[in-house]
Amino acid sequence: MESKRYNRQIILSEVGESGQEKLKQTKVLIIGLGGLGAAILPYLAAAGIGEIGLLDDDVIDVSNLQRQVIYKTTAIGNQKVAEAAKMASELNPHVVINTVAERLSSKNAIALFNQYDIIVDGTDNLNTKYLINDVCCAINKPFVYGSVYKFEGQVAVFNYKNGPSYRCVFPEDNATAASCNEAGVMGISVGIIGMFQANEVLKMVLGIGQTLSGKLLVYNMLTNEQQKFNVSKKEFLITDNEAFDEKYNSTESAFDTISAIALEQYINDENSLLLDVRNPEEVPKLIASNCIAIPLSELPSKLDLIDATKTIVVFCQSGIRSKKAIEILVKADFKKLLNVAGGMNAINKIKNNEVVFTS
Amino acid sequence: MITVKYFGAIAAQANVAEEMVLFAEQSLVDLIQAVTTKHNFDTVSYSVAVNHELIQDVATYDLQSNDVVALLPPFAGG
Repeated sequence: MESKRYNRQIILSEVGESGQEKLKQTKVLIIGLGGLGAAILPYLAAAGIGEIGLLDDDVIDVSNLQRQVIYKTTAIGNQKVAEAAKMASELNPHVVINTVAERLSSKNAIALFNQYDIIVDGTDNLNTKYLINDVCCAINKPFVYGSVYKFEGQVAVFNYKNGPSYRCVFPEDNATAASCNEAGVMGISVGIIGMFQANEVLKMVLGIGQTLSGKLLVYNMLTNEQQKFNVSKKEFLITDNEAFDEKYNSTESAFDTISAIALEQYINDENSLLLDVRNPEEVPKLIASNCIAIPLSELPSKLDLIDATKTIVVFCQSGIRSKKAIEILVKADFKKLLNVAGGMNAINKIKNNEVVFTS
Repeated sequence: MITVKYFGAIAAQANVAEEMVLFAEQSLVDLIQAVTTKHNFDTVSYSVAVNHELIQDVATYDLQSNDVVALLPPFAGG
């Protein structure tokens, strides 16, 4: 029964019964069940990957349905991982599906990744991509990267058989980039890139063709042009659990993260200091009596401008540079630190894009 | 001549996908400086490839005529 299901791929000499067995023995973790995940999951499940983990803490919103095509209109408001698991099990009941309705963090990542052979990145923010990369480097797991900007997509295989990592392509984790929510995207675009990722997973497992290890593929959906760039390996910053903990968990225990909504109670509060680490040209500005601006690049030399007796609430545009700033502040022995998740983008969203708060 | 290709948010900022730059004994840094000033790329981060090879040490790289330079920002949509 099961081999009949896979007959059309088993008759390929590149797959065969032995290839099918390899697929069955493989465990894949998909992080993010959005537009990319919605394309990756059905093809991996249908091909007979033995065990698939699904990680996402989000619920289905009506604005997801235009590209996250595995979800039904009647499922709006339901957990994505629950609906995705249901779809995959109905498609192929031979696949073991595990769901984790959590957000990936430096706390849960290592234990989770250890249960799988290949990690697939279906996330929509740079912060999480760096976290995925660093966990994979720490415990030596390959991961298949995919990302979309409007009508262009990037695909690569990182940390595979001693190959380059994401940081070899994009070294700086204070970078910024727009998500689909901010930049807009056609459903087809994330679908195509997600299928490129699923294809890389299958090639890695079957040992056929050439994977995108050491390459960055850039595909343009409007022109159908695709380009491959060669990536050489740089020295890894993180090579074991200890180095990972040093970067993530030593800093994380020293500060708390607050939501953009929770920020309001610190505005104009004389016991706290709002620290804007963006560059001067970035808008909108947060205008408050207790807000000061020090760009991240100038922070190390201007620490004396910060009153250490106050609660320091740090923000940037998207929440990435503010984490870097907190790393600097922790090293300089500042206490009482708060990071605003999502930064000004999140603050602005809840304020309906109006320039916020006045003093 | 040097061909400069733009991707993602960089292409959106430049408003072109590629352009030709007149070549005169140029370092990669000079070229990047010139196009950054022209298109105001300052707020977008990117990596640089020359002839489809990612360049790790942009500061010391010298260009040759007919090189194809690509400015590659990270994408984040998913």
